[in-house]
Amino acid sequence: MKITHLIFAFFLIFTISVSAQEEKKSKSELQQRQLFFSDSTNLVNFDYAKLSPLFVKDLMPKQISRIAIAYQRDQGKFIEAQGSTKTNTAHLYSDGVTELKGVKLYGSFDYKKVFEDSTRFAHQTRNNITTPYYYGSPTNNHYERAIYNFKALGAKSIFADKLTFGLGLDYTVADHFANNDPRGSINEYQLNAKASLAYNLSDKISLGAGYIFGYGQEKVTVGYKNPIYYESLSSPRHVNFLINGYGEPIPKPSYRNYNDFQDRSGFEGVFSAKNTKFGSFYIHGSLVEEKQRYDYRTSDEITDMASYDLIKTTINLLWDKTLLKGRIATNISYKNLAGEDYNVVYFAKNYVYSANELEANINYSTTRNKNIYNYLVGLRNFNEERIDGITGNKVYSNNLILNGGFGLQHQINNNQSIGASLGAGYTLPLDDSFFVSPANESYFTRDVIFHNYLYNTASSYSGSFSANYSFPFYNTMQAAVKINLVYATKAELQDLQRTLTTTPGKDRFFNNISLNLYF
Amino acid sequence: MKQSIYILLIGVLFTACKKEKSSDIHPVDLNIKVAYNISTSSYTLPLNGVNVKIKNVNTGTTQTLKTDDNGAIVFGSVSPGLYDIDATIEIPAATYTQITGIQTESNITFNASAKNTQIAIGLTDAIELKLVSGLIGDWVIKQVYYSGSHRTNGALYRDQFIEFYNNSDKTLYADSLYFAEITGVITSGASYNLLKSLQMDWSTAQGMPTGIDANKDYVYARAFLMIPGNGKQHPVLPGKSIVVAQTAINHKQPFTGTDGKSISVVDPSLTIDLSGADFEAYYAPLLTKALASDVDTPAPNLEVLSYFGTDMIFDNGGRYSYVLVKGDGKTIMKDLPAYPYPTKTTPSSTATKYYQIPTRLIIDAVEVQATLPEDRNPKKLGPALDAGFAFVPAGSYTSQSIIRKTEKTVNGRIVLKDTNNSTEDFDFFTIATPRGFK
Repeated sequence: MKITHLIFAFFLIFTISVSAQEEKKSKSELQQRQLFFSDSTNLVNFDYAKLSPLFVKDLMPKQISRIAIAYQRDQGKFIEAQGSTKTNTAHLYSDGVTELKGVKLYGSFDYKKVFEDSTRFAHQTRNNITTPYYYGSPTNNHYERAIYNFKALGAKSIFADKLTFGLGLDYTVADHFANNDPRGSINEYQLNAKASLAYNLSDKISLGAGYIFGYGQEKVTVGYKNPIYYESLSSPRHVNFLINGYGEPIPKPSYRNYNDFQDRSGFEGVFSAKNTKFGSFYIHGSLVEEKQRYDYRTSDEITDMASYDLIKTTINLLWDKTLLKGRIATNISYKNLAGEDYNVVYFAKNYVYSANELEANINYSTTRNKNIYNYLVGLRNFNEERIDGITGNKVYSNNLILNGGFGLQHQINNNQSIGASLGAGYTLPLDDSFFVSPANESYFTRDVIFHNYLYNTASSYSGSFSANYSFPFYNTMQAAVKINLVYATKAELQDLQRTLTTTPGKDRFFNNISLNLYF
Repeated sequence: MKQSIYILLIGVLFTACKKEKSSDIHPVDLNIKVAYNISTSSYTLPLNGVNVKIKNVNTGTTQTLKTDDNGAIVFGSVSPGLYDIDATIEIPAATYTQITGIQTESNITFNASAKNTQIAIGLTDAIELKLVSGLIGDWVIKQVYYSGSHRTNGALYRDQFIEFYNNSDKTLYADSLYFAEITGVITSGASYNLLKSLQMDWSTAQGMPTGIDANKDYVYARAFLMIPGNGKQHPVLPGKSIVVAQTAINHKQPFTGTDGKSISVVDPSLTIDLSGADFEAYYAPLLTKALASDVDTPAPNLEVLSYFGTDMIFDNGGRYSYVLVKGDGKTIMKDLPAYPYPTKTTPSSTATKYYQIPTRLIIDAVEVQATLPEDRNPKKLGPALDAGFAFVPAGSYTSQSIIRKTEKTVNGRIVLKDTNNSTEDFDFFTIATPRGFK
């Protein structure tokens, strides 16, 4: 049995044991646990708490658990160039909160088996997409991914609740591989941890800080069944290219493997002011510097191939207040990614990546009679820039995404409930710039850079619908069957006036069906 | 306290935002200047309109521009890296005659090249190219099938051949036509004395006389072979060719080897019928143990001046080049000197020696290179022999051959392209086709 399976089993037992420790609950109590997640403001608080162990005590319920099994399908060509035109995912998820001897604990495990069709130019994981250094091929690959993720957060107050000590752990192990030539294979693990301490100035105000550290590795290999694809360049679409920046890559038909070692360190700061007359305020800020070192190894030597530093800065504000017989939860977040590489061929910085994301979501929920009403208004500004010095490529896009939604959860007899929600969104391109010299234009430029520019500067509409039915399940749990449908369609593409080999397609459709158990 | 925290957070945000967003590397404006490499100044050939092509060796991106009146051109925003740079101009026959006073019926092509040229960050100096008029001969190397066919399903290297073509409008005689496989640095040059180009410095070879330009005026043969005949025995009509096979047999069908065992292929479509070849190499008399596939067919055998291996086995990776040689009536080929590789250490007395062939006797040449850019070696042939190089795109054992392109047809006679630049003159056959055209 693999170590991942053991850890998986541990977390499964952990979350179930959370429930087992409790006395037998009534059906009504069980239903309340399901309804907890039907209230969007609860959900905002619950998700916000995962930012730091120091929030677990305040923003998570005393005891709750859930398990979900889901199937989801994502299809359509209105995607970025290196996305998958069709993705099927089987998903098993569980999390739970409990308190053991004064320690508030949150744990989760998440297993995904992903089947991707038509992934191009990306022998990569899906969580390191800003890196300049990776392999890719123009042909469409069928990728399979098995991803395990485990999280644990724990917090305990000491010295008459003057100090709160928290620990967090996040571990991912994954296996990604393509089952057609070129056969990319990426074995990955990521471990992130944090240790935090908060000083509670009063019952209402606390201030804390924490140290964040982490390690990871991606071990990448590209293999072939058909030798002609690596013995020559006669089938350009099957050539394994080494992308090293944001310009044309070079063929890499031999020595097709590397390691990416990742080290992370940083800090977080937290502040909370609870139950003031203006509501409760939570602020979380973090700064994490990630260093990625790429090397090629033989039994005799280790050769440095590249390095990439990525600084991630985040600031999150949560404002939670009872308002007009309901509750408002406003989440404002800012994220900045700043990456730059060190090119070992030229002994200089070649690639620069930067992204800024500012997002505000206002959720309002109110319960009347046997109905929960949820309202959402959201606004997100996202801009991204990639610079490649070797080619002089510089591509920038800046978008505003507006979205809103309404949902209703209605309780019916025998502890059953039904719910539905509707949402709509609009992506508005604000500004952009595009400089890609025709002198350096080939497969990658046409298939990826042009395509991504068009996708990232396209206006689009989206609509969503979800529905659920909840019912008691074997007297020990509350179940909910949910479906989610999201449809996005492009409105307008830029006229690039270059030779295009591929453009973003018309639309994208996402659907998900899940069985959720609450206990 | 709250105010302090707020200031701290704003500070973090500001620090993140103010990071400089630029690269330390920038594209290069590449200046190229061409000139004619001619000693006389009694006339001036045109410098405007020379086609200059730059090709990034790694990414394969190309750009072609024409020079101005001064022979200069600037390629803007070129990525630093390794480039093949080629310049070529074809001067119409009438124009050439008018300018030079030299009568000619054919257009004259001048070429220049700088292969594997490093374009470094910050390069500002112009790259200078010297245009030379190459050998535009009656005989040309038409096709070289060096890659061989599939290792297990095909004939491996047994079906290799080379084809020579009469590109003139008169009957030529193949008698005493020589060809050679030219050697140089093919793997690592670490053990040799090297030139700046990283090709071997033959001037340092043991026994090499002084007073000659051992690198520019000569090439060195791994194999040196001659078509037999008395001078009028093997006429080749205009637009016709001769095929020289490793073994002149139909490789699609089973045949009995010199060891008495049957030799066959799994998939005949991968190989070729060489039973109609005009000549073959037969090395058995030279060896203590003949190669099983080297059977002696009715095709006349080549005369072997020097050889490598157990048959006329061309390097399937394309690491050697080929030249066609014609005697001048004074030079006795078999008496040409031979020298060992210019190794850093003193070669042993038994070290292999390679015929030194004067370039003045070479009537056509084809530089062959490996399929993958990373496997290529410094050029072995100078621009006067071949300004470019050719290769089969699919690589070793793929049945592919390099084939000279058809330029035009004159009164039913096909004239093959011969600009003295194999990069431009050659294409490839997916399956080698003796006497075929493309």
